[in-house]
Amino acid sequence: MPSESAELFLDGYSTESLKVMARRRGWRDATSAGKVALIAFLKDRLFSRSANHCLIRSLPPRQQHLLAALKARGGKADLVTLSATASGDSAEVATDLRDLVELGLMLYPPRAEKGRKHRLGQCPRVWLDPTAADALAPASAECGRPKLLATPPAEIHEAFPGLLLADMVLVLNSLAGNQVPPPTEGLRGGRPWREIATRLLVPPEESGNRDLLPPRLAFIYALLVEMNLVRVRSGFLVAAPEAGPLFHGDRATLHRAAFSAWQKTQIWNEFQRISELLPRPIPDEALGLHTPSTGKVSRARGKVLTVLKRFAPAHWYAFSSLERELKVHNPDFLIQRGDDGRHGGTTYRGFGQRGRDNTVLPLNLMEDWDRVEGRFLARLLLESLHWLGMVRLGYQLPRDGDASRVDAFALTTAGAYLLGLATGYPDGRAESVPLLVQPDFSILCLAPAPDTGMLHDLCAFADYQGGDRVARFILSRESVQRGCHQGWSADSITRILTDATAGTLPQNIAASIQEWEDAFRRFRIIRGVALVEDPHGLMSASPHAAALDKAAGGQLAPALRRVPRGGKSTLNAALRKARIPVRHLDYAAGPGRVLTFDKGNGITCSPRGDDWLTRSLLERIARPVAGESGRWRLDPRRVSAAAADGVSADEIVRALGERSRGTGPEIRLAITAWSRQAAGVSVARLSLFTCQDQELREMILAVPELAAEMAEQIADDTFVVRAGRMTALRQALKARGVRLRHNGSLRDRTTPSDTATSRTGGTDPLPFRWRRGTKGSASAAASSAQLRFLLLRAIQARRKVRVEMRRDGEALYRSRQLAPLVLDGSVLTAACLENGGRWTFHLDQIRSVELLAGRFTT
Amino acid sequence: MARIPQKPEPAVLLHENVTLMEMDRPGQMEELRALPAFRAALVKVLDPCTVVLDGRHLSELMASLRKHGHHPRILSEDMGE
Repeated sequence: MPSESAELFLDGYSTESLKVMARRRGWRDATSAGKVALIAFLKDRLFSRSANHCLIRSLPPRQQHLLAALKARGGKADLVTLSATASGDSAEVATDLRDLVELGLMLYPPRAEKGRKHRLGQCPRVWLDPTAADALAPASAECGRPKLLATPPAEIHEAFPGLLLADMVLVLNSLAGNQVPPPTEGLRGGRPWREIATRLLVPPEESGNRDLLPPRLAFIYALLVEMNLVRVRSGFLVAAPEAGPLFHGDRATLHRAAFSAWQKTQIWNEFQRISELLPRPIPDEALGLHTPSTGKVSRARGKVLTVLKRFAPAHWYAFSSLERELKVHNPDFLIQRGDDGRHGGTTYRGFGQRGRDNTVLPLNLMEDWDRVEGRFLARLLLESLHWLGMVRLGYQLPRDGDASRVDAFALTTAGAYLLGLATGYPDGRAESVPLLVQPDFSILCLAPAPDTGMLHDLCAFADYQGGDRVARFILSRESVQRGCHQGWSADSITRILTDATAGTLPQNIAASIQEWEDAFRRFRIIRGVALVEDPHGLMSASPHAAALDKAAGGQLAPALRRVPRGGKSTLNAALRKARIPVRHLDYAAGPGRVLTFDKGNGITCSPRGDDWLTRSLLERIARPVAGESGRWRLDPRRVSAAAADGVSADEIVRALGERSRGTGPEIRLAITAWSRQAAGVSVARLSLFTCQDQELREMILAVPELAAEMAEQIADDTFVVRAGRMTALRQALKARGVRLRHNGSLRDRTTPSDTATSRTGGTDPLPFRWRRGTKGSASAAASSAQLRFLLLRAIQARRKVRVEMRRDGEALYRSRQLAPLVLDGSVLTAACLENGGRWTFHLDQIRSVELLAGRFTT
Repeated sequence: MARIPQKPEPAVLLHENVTLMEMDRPGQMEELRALPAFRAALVKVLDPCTVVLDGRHLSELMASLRKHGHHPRILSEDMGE
């Protein structure tokens, strides 16, 4: 085709419209010869440098600016970054970008899948068309430093680094003496952590879920764990020993350690603190989630700190300027907008915007950066960096309880030091003021944040009482003696307080501290001591008496010496050398079987039973038989005295059983009876009737003939049967289908057709089964009573049961083996022995109950 | 009646892992004897200031002592305080 034709053909069309037409007609795929020639012409005319230059000059200034910004970034950029550099709102910028792509001046990078193109708005990046890049003027260095805020904010929230460090000390000291378990998954703590939260200098905000740790406390816990200052011992948290030196050390070092711990911690997650975002299920998780992991959040903190270094310390900046800096320099600092197809798509995957009624709305990857990364940034400033004392927060308008908004910020001196922008750490002396110790044993710390070293010391021997503007402590006997346990003495406590009060410690305080310490030092208990007893004088008679005397240690009592610490092996060697036989009596090991029981109340003790514990036991409950060595006789008075001392009959019987081949029933009965007598319990032979099932009891008592046999009601469910009438009562009940057990309690009320065959051959009426609606049950009400009766018996006897039950709405009954625990009205709480867990059932959901032979333990 | 075995030959007795309680004044023993938990734990009086305790009753004894305002130190012969 001649070129003139093409010129003619193109007459009447503007260059811009021709370019759009060419692109829309898919000129790259043209096949006919005419089209190929036309395309060659169009390429030459329309996509040449001069053509592009003319086109770019005709564009609106905003679009020209976008092209220049793209070229300044090397021809490749994220849409978020370009949007941040453009003026105008996001909708206008999106239109501009769309126009530039339509004009062929911007391109989307090729997709990972060959042969497929990105559609508009799908790809997070754009490239500059090479021909357009040639036509653009050289880029100028447009990005400058962030602009300062013109006027200081109206409302300023100051930052106190010492507050956080002081609260860390308080949390650590709260662990001492209290059984505080580590928080469970999701930082759930429960009551111990709620109590700790009340002791913090800065009261934490109220959380909706009381089990969750308050955010500030969770933040402190995360720092302590990362700094390795807490350990888990026997399932509970304790402070590490290195905490003391750290808190007494250089304040800058401590602050830097906390700052480093925050950068690394994965327990604290600012992204999860964004309350406006909710998890959003996605249909295909294989495509990947945008929800950042804890590791990514940790790395994002470092990237934010890098950008934060561009801001001059002590000057106020708008929060939007920080957002803009991050958008321009590192828009993917938290969430990667990949274009490899895996993370593709137009919306954030895995979470969305909280809507009304907790619905989750999708968020656009290109347009909602402020709602995701921006909120994360705000959360960093509002909580972590502010708590760390690195930034002051400013508000142009009153905050009005909006906990997620920040208008302006300024780096503090401490923040500048931690970021490496300044060399000197702020002098903390301004915050540490002398203590005021009052005669009423209260200690006042007149500073927003006491010196951490002082606070650490105070917490050791005084109880923190809270306070608004001042920290208040109370000295008490208990707190001082707790300090003595940790190695403090009255002298050291008095010296600390005297120094801190500049010598104005009240006289009564010093005297009381000394008195409390004296009370503490009165007793001491030493475990694991070794004593050597020489009742026959073998050691003194030995030729090696001098060596033995040296090895045996100091004399404690006649013929008794205390072996020095670590001297047992030396003593054993000396005894072997002197050929003196040794009997080892280890009180940590179990006792030997040295007791035998005679008929009646006699006890014989083997000569091997000369350990002090056995002898003490025998002396506690028996008297030695005169003239017969090793023979004892139980003494009721001594047993009663032992019971009065708090040694129970069970304990005595157990101790006797450990030292014998089992105590006889007579001994057990005697000890138990004498113990109970001492406890004021009298035993009488009475015929008692007990029926725990209220409905059955009322039914029985409604029969005048049966009620007449009861002499007196002594409990809700227990009656004294008239003397000599027990047999008559049993027969009267049996005639009505109620059989009694030998101890008088009700067994069951079934007809033979209802009762399953006893598995124990009839000696024990259990197990048996009772089922609703079977022949013989009196009525629906009685049937519920029967089930309740069986369940009560099972709970009382700790018997396993098998129930047939169905939940509401279920058609079929299921069989479950349960350990019934509590029956409260018509609600049964039971542990499932098949699937585990604790369940509650309403009696209406249960069709049958079968008592099983096995028992369960709680 | 059970037979009493022969007496073993004379030997030195080495009592190991004994729990001792030491007081700084003899009169304190009488004060402690007023506590049932102390009487239950008491095994042997070695001297007016030193007694042997039953280690099994130590937790009850400590609770009782704390309740009455005493905070005795517990030391271990091997580990120290």
